[in-house]
Amino acid sequence: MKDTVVKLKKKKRNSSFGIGQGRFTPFFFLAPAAIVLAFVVAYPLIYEIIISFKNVTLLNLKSQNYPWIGLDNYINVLADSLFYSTLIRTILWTAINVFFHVSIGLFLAILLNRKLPGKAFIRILLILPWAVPQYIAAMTWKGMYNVEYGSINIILTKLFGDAALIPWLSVPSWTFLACIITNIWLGIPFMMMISLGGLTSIPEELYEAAELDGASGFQQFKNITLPLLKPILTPAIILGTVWTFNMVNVVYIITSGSASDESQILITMVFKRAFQYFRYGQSAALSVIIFLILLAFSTVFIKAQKSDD
Amino acid sequence: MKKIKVMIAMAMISTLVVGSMAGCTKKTAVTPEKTPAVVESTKPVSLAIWEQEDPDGQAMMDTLAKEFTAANPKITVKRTHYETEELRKNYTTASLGTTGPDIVLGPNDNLGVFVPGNLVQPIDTVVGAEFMATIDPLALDAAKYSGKQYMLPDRNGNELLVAYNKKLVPTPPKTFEELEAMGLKLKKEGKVEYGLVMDEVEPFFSVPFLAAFGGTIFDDVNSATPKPSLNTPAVTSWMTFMKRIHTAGLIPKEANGDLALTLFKGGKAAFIINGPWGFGDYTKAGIDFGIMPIPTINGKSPAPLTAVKGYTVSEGVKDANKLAAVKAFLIFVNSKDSQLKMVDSHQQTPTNIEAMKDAKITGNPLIAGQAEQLAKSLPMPTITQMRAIWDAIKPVQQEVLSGKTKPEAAGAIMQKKAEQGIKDLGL
Amino acid sequence: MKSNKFNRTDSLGKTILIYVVLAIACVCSVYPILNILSISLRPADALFTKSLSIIPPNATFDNFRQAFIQYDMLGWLFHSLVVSSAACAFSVMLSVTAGYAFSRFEFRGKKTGLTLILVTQMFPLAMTLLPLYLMIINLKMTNSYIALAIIYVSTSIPFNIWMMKGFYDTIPKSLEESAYVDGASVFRSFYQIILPLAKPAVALTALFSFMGAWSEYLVASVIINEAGKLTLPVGLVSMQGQFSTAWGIYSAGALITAVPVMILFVCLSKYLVGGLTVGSVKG
Repeated sequence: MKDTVVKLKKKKRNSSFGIGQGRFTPFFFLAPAAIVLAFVVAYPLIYEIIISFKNVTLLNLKSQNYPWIGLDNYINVLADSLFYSTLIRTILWTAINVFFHVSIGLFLAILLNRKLPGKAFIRILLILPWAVPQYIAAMTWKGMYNVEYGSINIILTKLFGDAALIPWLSVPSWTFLACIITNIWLGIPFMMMISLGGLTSIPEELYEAAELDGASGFQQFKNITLPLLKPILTPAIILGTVWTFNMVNVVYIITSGSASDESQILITMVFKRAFQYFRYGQSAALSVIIFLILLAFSTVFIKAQKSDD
Repeated sequence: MKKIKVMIAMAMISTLVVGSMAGCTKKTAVTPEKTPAVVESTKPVSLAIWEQEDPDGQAMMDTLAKEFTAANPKITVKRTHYETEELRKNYTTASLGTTGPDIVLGPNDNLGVFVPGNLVQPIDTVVGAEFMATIDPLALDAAKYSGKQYMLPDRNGNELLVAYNKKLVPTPPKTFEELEAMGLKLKKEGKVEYGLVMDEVEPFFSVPFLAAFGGTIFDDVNSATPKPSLNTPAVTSWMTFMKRIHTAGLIPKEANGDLALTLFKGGKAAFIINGPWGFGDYTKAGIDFGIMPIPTINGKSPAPLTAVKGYTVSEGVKDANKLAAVKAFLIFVNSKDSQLKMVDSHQQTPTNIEAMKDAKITGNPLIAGQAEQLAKSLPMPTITQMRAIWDAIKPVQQEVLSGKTKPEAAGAIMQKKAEQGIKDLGL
Repeated sequence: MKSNKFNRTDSLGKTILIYVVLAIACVCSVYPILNILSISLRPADALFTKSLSIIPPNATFDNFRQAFIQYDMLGWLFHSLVVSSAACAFSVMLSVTAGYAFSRFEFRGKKTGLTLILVTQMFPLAMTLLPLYLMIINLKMTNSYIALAIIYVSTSIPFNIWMMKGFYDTIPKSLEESAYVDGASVFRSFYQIILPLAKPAVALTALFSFMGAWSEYLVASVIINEAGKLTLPVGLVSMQGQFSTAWGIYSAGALITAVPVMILFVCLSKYLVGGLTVGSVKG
């Protein structure tokens, strides 16, 4: 829909083809996607923005008559110290996760980007975590984190003795780490695949030439691999960041309903406020704030990428 | 500049779209058809039921539904299962539209959400006073909210009690101190991994002990604005007790309901604090077990919270035909025979007065034996504020057990969280 | 002559090291899944055990059988197949065309459009459930697989569009220009020349879309709530009771959920890696 508006304002200008292309050709290619996105995304977004200015409780939920309270929901959120501590934790969560997703994924991709017997089989094994639905993975890992009966502690104690017993699920800081490990496990295959796809498109000749010039492996990586991967890695990282920031399944399940305030991230707060306390207005305000934060991040990130070119 | 113009244009168009949508949302008032009471539905009717039963209960409901449809060919019954929290969430969402279920089968604390949210209608007018008279009045009382009858209970109980493995425990203990000694001894002898197992995550399972120490959850449950009373010495004693049996090794280091069940079913625990819903599982696992009320601590009995579970009718069910079908279904499924069949799956006391007298109930020690514990139990508060209470106790209990918080400090933290939670609910 | 099986520059030591690292990675990757497998093979829902053995002593396939007997697993599989295939088909159609537009055409708002597409992902999905549900009620499309598929499409096309655009960018424009000289229209050259070359990227797009729809729970549980129409994730979660769950059957169900995706991986695996440039297709 937004592109329709753009089309209507467009001057009569030829594109690089000039032949065989009508003024509205891009429109035909773009319209279906634009319409779907407009409906499925724009409408809920506008609705949520509107409702973030209203007061919704269990009592007035059904009547759909929500009184207008202006910025009260926002003030409520921003004045809450819990918001800031959770925000910092969420940023930490996202940064650590994405860092490991990309670095381990890229590392594995580089390892696999060579002639290696059995490569196909290994690739499939490494991609498997992606095939498991998130909540099933989260529940499995939760079982593995049990202090006495979970596989992880059993292995740890077999290797390092009883002192290595870690209270994964009863101490909030360990629970946070547990969620991170699980999410990293879930997210590596995606980054690995993207990296692999990008790596195979870098021509061998570039590496050969660099080698002839005496460049070390690391220099080759820095000056050939990274820059050529950027176009495909940038959107992947942005999406990965957004998805991780808003990852509710893993945290919710491993913290058994995220009861403890010290292991929550912003999105689980939204979830709880909306679906357990029925304060849709407040959670809408929080969601809008999350949206703005992510928007700011990606704008900065993209600008930073562009200035490097 | 141009970008901004595009944005504004987009916003205007979207607002137009939203506006028209909002227009569609306004419901036109439905005038209920005023027809004389018709028991025979003349048009085919489809009833949608949502429930949160365990797998056995689900299977039994399907059987009953089939029987019902066989007797009433024009009425089809569709059952959907949701987990308790999911059920609440989806039900409140569905209530904004017209596609929710007609009947919901759930515990009575759902009323704390359904009634203030205006999601259900009084049920005594749906089924009629004549049928209501066949149901146990005590159970009916528990299914009331603000004095009105919103739920038709089909089972009474949901209480926690102790089940013990008869092979490991030939004579049941009479006090909790005895139980503790027995459990620790069995563990030392290597006959069990833990003497006692219970869900250590959900406060529902530990809250019975609060009463044994003289504590209460609210200052006055029946007042218009009940306040939590968690910052009391009783709570300190309660948390000290929990920490003690945890450190002594009576209960596992970390256990949720699944772990407790697994250990007991595997014969690796002597005692389990759980509800009647577990009986079927123990039998299937081949455990010969007996039941007893949670034994006294210092002479005082712990008081688990009881609840009734039952049927509620959605507020949006107004069509006379549908109401007649709902009535017929509810009467069928709460008849003596149907209730007795359901007992097989939930192992609790039914509410149909005739069914309660049946030998299947009175002659079954596993069901009749629950009476002792029921006599010592307290009804679970169904008010909306309970959500805040559970959310307050859960993390603090976890921190006490893990050693992060001292039992003496627990009460104050719980009280603060509970008060904040009630404020967050908007109450 | 150095062996052609290995990279010319890798020494034996380096290759062994690589295999060791990969082996460790594979174990970490697969272990939790093996956990699910062992629970599903255990009789009597023994969820926890102190033993580390993958294949439990009394292994049985009974749980898998029960999943189909006690639950409508076959129905769920079929419903999920319908929804995921529809989502996959729509998503591919939409992303393939939109990506092409972004790659080939210059138009005002192109850069904004690309960024906006990413932006649509930033609003938490959980919160959009309520207005989505309201919208669906108004359109009278509750319990509709089409509605569900369209929602899934909206979550998958952003990345797919970017990916297709990146792929198209590697195809030299000269290919189409020669087609225009011959008189072909934009649409025909797109359809007959570009698309066949794009097969690998299209395969990837199809995979992403299918997977996203296949394992999604939250939206499906809100939109589809009629008993006979549940999709696989919703059906799976419905196996959980409030106080007890048949974990053996549940784990069996979980594996059954994951297997079709794994099969899809295996079939598409040659595209999965070679996939993102034209150059690799020739090789």
